[in-house]
Amino acid sequence: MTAPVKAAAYPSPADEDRDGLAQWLLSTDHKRIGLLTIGTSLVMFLFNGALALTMRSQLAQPEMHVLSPQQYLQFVTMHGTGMIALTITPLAIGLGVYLVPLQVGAPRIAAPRSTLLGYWLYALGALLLIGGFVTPTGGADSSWWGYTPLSNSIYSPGYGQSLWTGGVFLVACGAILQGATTLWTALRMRAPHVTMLRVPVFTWTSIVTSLMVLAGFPALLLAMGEIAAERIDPHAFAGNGWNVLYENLFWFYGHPVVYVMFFPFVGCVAEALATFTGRRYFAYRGTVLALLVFAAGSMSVWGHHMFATGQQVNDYFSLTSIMLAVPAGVEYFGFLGTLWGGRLRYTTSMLFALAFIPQFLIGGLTGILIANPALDYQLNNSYFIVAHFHYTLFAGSVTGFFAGFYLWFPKATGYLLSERLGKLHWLLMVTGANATFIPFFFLGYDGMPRWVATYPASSGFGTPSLIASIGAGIIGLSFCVLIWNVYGSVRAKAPAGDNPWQAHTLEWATSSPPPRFNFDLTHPVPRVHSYAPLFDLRQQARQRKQETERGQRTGRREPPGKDEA
Amino acid sequence: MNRFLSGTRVAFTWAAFNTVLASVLAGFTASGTEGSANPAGAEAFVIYASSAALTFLVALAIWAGRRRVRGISEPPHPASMVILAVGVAMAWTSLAFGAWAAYLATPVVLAALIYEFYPRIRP
Amino acid sequence: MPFQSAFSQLFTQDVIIAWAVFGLVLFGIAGAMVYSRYRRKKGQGPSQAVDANRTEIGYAAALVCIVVFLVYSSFTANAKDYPDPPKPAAQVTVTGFQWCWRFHYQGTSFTATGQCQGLRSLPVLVVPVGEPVRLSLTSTDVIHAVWMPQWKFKLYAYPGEVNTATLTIPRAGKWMNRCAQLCGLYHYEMDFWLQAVPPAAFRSYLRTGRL
Repeated sequence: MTAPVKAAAYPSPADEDRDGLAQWLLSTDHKRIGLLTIGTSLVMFLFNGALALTMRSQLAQPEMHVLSPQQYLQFVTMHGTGMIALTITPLAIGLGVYLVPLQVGAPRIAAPRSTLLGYWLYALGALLLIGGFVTPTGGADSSWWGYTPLSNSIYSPGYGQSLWTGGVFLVACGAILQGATTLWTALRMRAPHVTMLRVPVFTWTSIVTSLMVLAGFPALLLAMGEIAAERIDPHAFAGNGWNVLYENLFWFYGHPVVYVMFFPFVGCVAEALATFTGRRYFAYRGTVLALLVFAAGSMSVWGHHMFATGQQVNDYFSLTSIMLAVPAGVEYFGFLGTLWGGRLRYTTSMLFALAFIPQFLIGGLTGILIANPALDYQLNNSYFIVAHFHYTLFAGSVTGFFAGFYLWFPKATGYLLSERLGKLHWLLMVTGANATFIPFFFLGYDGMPRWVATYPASSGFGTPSLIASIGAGIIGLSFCVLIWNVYGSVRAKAPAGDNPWQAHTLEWATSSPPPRFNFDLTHPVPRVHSYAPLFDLRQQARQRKQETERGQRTGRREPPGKDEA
Repeated sequence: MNRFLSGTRVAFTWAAFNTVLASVLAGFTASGTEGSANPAGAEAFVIYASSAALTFLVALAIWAGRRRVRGISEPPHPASMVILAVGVAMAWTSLAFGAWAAYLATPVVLAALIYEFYPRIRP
Repeated sequence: MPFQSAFSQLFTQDVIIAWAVFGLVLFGIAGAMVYSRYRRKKGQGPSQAVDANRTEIGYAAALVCIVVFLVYSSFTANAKDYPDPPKPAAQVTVTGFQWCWRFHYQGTSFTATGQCQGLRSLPVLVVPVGEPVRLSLTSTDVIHAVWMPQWKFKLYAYPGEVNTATLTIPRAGKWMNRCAQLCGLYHYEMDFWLQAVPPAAFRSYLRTGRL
């Protein structure tokens, strides 16, 4: 039922795109669009990180005046929306845009122009969000939640909140488009013999991420529509039912988005673990099932953000939230199973993968704690929650991202990064993350609420806050090391070769960076028998070599090894 | 299992998972909520059921695309996408700056549509 | 005080389980690192095993059992927090507004409030020791939330809506409470005191407005 592949369809190297800014910004090559998305996200990371460092300066001691209360609320709003919508979500989705076609042996992504449109909606949405800061009334200041009626035009007059509404809407549309094209590529454009159960773990994480984007992000579009309506005519929406509706719509997106910001980095960690233990990823099928169950489960828990509101069916959401421990535990079975019996190579990528496992677990276990309404009544909207989600998102997802970054940077650019600087980056980041966020657990437990520009000296919050602020500074240093490493690598241009890590998946079978249509005559798509095709090929080659040697010694010729179906 | 699990079946399986979880919420909705007497569960269920229906639509779309067309092609004029994005962004700024921004955005969006569709009408 | 006792018991139980899980995983990672060195010394290559289905299924079943236990604990604790409310000795309407609090004692004409900005003279919610007090939370503008950190209680205050909860403070004292939902510029100063006094002192407070 499929059209025959034209052998002449693969272009020669002379057909590759010209370079130049316009060609990058208008590219229909998923690799360029992916790198644009990831690159923009990393710039956003620095911007939102600078906001965080300023906030931590303000909060390092009681009653400081680094930021006015007005500025603080603008900073915390931008930091939250910026990190979630402009940084980690596009990093997650952008990784999929780059890697999925390569990993499934496809020459391109589905609907490349829609993928490009997705990038531009994200970039322009970011412009709108940041643009609020340069307006006379300043940026949005209702937190990244934007709860009504605080975010309507009565309580938040001014340009910033309106620009925020539009910006969030546009960015969400961009994410939906890129999620859709990535999903289509993975489900419909795999190379022959790449069945679903031969798809790499990272691509599976991208599949479930895209499914959640499509199922959950439309609710955010509706929520932004509600804010827009309430900014045009707030009095028409005076009933409290509208406020509760907003919460339900917002969190219906707001929970899946944190899993969108999680699964692709689980994929990064999985690929790193398999590569640097020298094994196929362990318990692959259990992992695939767990991913599908976990992603579906993540759609069912949003009410746990509303436990203290008195407006939600708390028992149901406690049940579904605690239930997530089962697929999460199965994921961990895969991590530990891959490690156990492996021959570990402690590259920078592997160090980040190893740090991810316990660090994310702290976030996950504290998540189970707050899945109990009786505990959440105390901990909700306190620094305990801030600690929990910074552990999952920063000590977890971002750490997992760097496992992928140090793994795939050579593939995407063709250059190696310095391992020495990479390990320094790792050391500073792990130290800084734990130093920053562990004190937050104690602050929240002891009564420090969220969104406070300062706190009184009598509260006793000063010392943990100071430790946290020092930790934040260490994180900032770690990013300086990263930037230095990338800059030095691009200057040194140490060639990486096709597969510097002896990794297992199809992207490593092509050149670094890959050619315009991913595979070409010098780097064809190899025959795929499992989710670790290059591992299989190496194993087969080794077996053939052994058989040939045996044959030479006995004087007989062994039949060639049979291919698995 | 290797042959059984196709892209379509993955999408439908996931849609089924969502439906099951949404149905469980319906069961809890009957029992009521804490704090105040509110039909909170009904609203939550409507949202969840709509999303579950959406996941089935996604699965349907995956199924409808099962006649794969392989090969590669260079898509025409990507610039219309960028112009469209700029127009839509300009339109959204009207919420902040007033209706005039939407009026400015209209020709931009039109330009994108013309640039996109004109070559197909008149190649 | 049901919120506090439910919290303490459940928190202790769940934190112990969490530490146990964390310890096991750390042990697993460290063990894998040590085992890798051991295998390298023995000249063995990496293990070729790709799965352990029976172990995995057993492990998942164990996880389900733990989850069932945790869910049961959660439902039980939540039921303790919101039982059928006892007949209250006092009923107070707590109104949050930008940016302070007002307490109207129902059935009287007495309303207590204060000055939150600069934390100058924060409002005081006076309640009788050992007697159930029903709080009716509401707002006149945006969403606020009452948080009593020492008593492990939090509930939102909505405009045009009333959330109710019944508290029984078991001993006399004075505790700091905060607003726990972002409500605008002075959210960070929107504190108030909870003060529990003997019932006789409470009734005289309602009459005279002074303690």
